[in-house]
Amino acid sequence: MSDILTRRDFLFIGGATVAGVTLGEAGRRLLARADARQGALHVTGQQRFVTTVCRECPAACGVRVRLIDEVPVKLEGNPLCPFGRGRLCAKGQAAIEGYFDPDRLVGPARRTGKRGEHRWEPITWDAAIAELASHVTAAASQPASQTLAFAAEEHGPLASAWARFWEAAGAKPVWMHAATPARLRRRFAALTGVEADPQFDLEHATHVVSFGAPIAEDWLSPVWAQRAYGRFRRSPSRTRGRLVQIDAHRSITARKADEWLAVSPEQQVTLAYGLASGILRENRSDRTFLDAFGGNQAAFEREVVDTYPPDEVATATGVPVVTVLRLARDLAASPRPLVLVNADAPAGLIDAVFALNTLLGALDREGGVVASPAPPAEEPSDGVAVLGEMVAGTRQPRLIALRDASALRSLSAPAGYKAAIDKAEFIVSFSPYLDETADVADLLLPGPTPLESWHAVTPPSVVRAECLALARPAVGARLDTRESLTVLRSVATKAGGAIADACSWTSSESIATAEMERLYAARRGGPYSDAHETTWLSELERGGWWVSATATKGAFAQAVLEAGGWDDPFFAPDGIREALKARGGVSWPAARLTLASGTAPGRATADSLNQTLVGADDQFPLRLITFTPATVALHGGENNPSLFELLGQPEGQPWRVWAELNPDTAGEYGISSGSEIRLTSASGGSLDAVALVVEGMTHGAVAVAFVPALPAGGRWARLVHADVRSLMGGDGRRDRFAVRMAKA
Amino acid sequence: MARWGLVIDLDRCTACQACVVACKHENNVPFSTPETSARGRLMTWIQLVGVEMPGGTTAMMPMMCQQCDRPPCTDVCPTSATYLNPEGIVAQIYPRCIGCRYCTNACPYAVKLFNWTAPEWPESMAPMRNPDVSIRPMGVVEKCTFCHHRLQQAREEARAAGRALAAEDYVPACVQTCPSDAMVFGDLDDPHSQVAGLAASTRAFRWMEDLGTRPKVVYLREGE
Repeated sequence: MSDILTRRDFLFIGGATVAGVTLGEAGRRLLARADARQGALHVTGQQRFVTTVCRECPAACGVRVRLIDEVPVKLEGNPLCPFGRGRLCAKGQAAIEGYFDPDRLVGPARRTGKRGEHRWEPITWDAAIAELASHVTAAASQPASQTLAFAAEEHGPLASAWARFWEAAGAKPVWMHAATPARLRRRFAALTGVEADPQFDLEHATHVVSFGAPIAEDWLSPVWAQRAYGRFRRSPSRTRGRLVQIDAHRSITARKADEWLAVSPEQQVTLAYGLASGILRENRSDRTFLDAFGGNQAAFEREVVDTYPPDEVATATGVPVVTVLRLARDLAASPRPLVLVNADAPAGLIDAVFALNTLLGALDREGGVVASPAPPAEEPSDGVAVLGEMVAGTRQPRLIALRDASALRSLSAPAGYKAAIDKAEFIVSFSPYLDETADVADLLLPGPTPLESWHAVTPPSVVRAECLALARPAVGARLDTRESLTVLRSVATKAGGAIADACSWTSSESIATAEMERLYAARRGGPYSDAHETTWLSELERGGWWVSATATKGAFAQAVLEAGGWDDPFFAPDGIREALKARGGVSWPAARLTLASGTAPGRATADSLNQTLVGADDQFPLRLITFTPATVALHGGENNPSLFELLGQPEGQPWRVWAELNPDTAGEYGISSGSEIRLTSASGGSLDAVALVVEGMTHGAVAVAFVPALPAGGRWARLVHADVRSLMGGDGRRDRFAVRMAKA
Repeated sequence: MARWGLVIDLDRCTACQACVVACKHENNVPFSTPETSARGRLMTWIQLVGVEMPGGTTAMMPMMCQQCDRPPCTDVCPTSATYLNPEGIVAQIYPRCIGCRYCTNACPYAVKLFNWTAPEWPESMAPMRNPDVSIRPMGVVEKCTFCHHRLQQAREEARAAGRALAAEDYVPACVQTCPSDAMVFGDLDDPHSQVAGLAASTRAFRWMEDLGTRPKVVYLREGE
C-alpha cells in the first residue's frame, strides 16, 4: 500500500472521521472500515465490558469496566453484584485513575539513598526476589524478632494465602482493621450467643437512631448502605423513614438526618443508655419479645433505670431531658425502630446499641438486626495494638512487609509508630503506588492495581447471602508489576523447606481457580445473578431445591468470572430467636454497668472529659475532633485528582481540608466560614485549614477532616498539605487532644 | 418525540458525589488543581451545591445544566452555538462557540463553564478519555448535555436490534451510578413513566422556577 494518500482517500478518511465524531458507534464502524482499507488510521473503537471487583475499600463491590480497544475508559457498577446492584460510590468511580496514575511505580526498585530520600535504582525481578528471599530466610532463623506483614483487612482465599506464607516464614500477618460488620460480631455474640456477623436491615426500618454510623458516607459496605438509605427514606407504599443522627461533628449523614445531636464519642454511650432508661421508665419496651427472650432483664432494667436517670443523662451529654425522653418515645412508638452504630465504636457503645435494639424487639425482624447467613471469617489481629507494642518496644521486628499503605495511614495508631516501623532493618513494600510505604521501604516490589489483578475476596456480610467476589484481571499489566502472591511463591521456592511446603499455589489465578473448584464441588449457590433471579433461587432453596446453574467445572468457573462472583442466597430466618431460646434469653451487658468505682461508662461529665484532654489549658482551649471524609482512600491509592476536588464540597472549597466550628466559638475568635485558620497543639505541630461555621457543633471544639498528606507522593497528593496528624505529636493519635486556634 | 428530563429526590440523595466523578470520566472533563479551583475555574459539569431552603435549612443539591424549556442562554448566543434541540436537550456546538460568555452570564444557575485553559491530561491518562465525547478546546463554553452521546448510542443499538428506542435504553452516567437511586431519568411527556410521575409529585420543585425558565431537572424536596 502506498504511504501517500490520494485525494479520494483523504476525502473518505476525512468524511469517516467527521462521521465518527458525530455519529458515535455507527461512525466508528465506518471509520473502522476506512481503517481496514487504508491500514494507516487506528480508530476502531471496539467496545466491550468486563467484570472486576472494586478494592478501594473492603466492601468489594462488583464493577463493569468499559473497554474501548481493550483500554479501560470508564467504570460502572456490576448489576449482578448482590450488594452493589450496578451502582458505585465516588471512590469506586475514581478507581480507574489509579490504573492510569502517571506517578505509579514502574517496576521493582532498591533504595540507594537514606530512607525517605527517595533515591532508587531499578532492579530485575530475579534480583528483587533473591534479595527478599535472603531477608525472609534470615528473619525466619531469628524467631525472637518476629517479622511483621501488614495489610489492610481482607478476607478470602487470596488473603489466606498471604497469611499462610508469612506464618510459614515465622512471621505474624497483621491486618489493619477495617470498619466492617465483623468488628461488631464479638459484642453481638456476647449478647445473643450467635457466632455470626450482625446485619442491619436499614431499608425496612421506619425510625432509625444512629450512633455515629456514617450511613451516607462509608458505613459497613458503602454502596449497599446508601441504597438501603434511599429505600428507607422513600419507597412506594411506605411511610418515609425518619433518621436521628448522634455524631460528634456535622457529618454528611448528620446533614441528611431529620435531627442531629452533637454528642462527643465518650458521651454517646451515656445517651444510648439514657434512651434505654427512658424506654424502660415509661414501660415502652417490646414486652412480647422480652417475655420470650429477655432472660435476666429485670436486673438489667433496674441497673439502667437507676444508673441513667434522664436528668443526669442530660447533664452528662448536654442533650436536654425533654429531647432524651422524646427520642426514647419516638423510637418505641415507631412500627419498626432500629438503632445503628458505627463499626469503629467502642465496645461499651456497641453493647448499649444492641441492648437498645433488644428492648425494642428489633432482633430477627424486618427492619431490625439479623444474623448473617455467611460463616464468620476468622477474626484478624488488631493492627493498631501491634503498632502500640512496637512503640512500647515489646516487639522489634527486623523485617517488615507492607502490602499497602494502611499501616502508615491509620488515624488511631499510637504516637511514634512511624519511627518504630523505621527501626526495622529491612522493609519491603508491595504497593503499586508512590505512597507512604516508599518513605520507609528498602525494596519496592510494585503489585498490579485492582484492574490488573485477580480477585477472590469475601465481602463484608450485609445481604442475606454468602458471597465471594471473584474476577480475573480486566486488563493486562500496564507496567512491570507482579502480584504479591506470585512474588511470594518465587521467594518460597528459593527459601525452600516449610515455607515452600506452605505455598501450594503458583499465582493468584491458581488460588482463584482452586476456590471455584471447591465451590463447584460444594454444589450450592451459583454465579452472581440479578435481583429477581436471586430471589427466585432463594425461594427454591427455602423449599428444599438446590439448583446447579452449570453442568461442568469449566462452565461454572467461566460463569462465575463473567458474573463477577459467587453467592448462595440461602437464608434461615429466626436464627437469633432460636439461639436465644436455647440459651435462655439475652445476656445483657450487665458487667459494663457495675464498675468497681461505681461509675458507669460514659458518665463522665463534659468538665471531667476536658480535664483529660492532652495539653488542655488556657493556651490550648479547644478540643480537637477528627473525622475521615468518605472520599479519602485509606486502603487504595491516594493520587486520584477527582477525589481531591470533592474535598471541601459542597462548601465551595474544593481541594481544601476544612475545620468545623460552633458559631459561638467562631465568634469568639472573629472567624467566619471561609476564613483561613491555623491550629496549633501542645506538641508544637500546626495545621492550616479553611473554617466552616456549623450550627449545632459542640461549643469549644474544632472538628478537622483527616486527609493523609503525602509530601513525596503522586503529583496531586502532594498538593494537599494539611494532615491532622501533625497536631498529634508528629505522626500518631491519642484519644483526646487540645489545640489553639488563630487566623492564618 | 421524547422530552428528556431528570428527577432528583433530595430525600434519597446521600450527597456522596459519585455522580460528580462519573460525569467527569464520562464526559472528558479535565482535572483541576488547587490553584485553578481557588480562581473559581473548577471544571465540573455537575457539583453538589449547598442551597438555603425555605425554613432556614440547607439542602445539598446536585446542580447541573437544568435543561430549560425556555433557556436564557440560547437567546443570547450570537452564533447559535447553544440551542434547544427537538428532544428538549440544550445542546452545545463547540466549533461554533466564539467564547463571548454571554450564555454564562445569562444562565441563572451558573452551570455553563468557560474553558480558560486548554484541557490537559497527563500522558498516561490520555487513553482513558471517552472517545464518544469530543474534547473542548480553550475558549469555548461547555456544560452538561444529559450525556447526549449515550442517546445516540442507545438509538443505534435499538436500530441494530430492530426495535424502537425505549426510554430506559438511555441513562446518563450520573443516573447510572447513583448508589441511593435518588436520580430518575426518562421521558417527561410519557404519562406512564416513572420520571413523569415523580415530577408531578407534591414534593417536586424546579430550581428558580419563578424565573420562567421551565427546567427539565426536577428536584423532590426533603422532609415529611
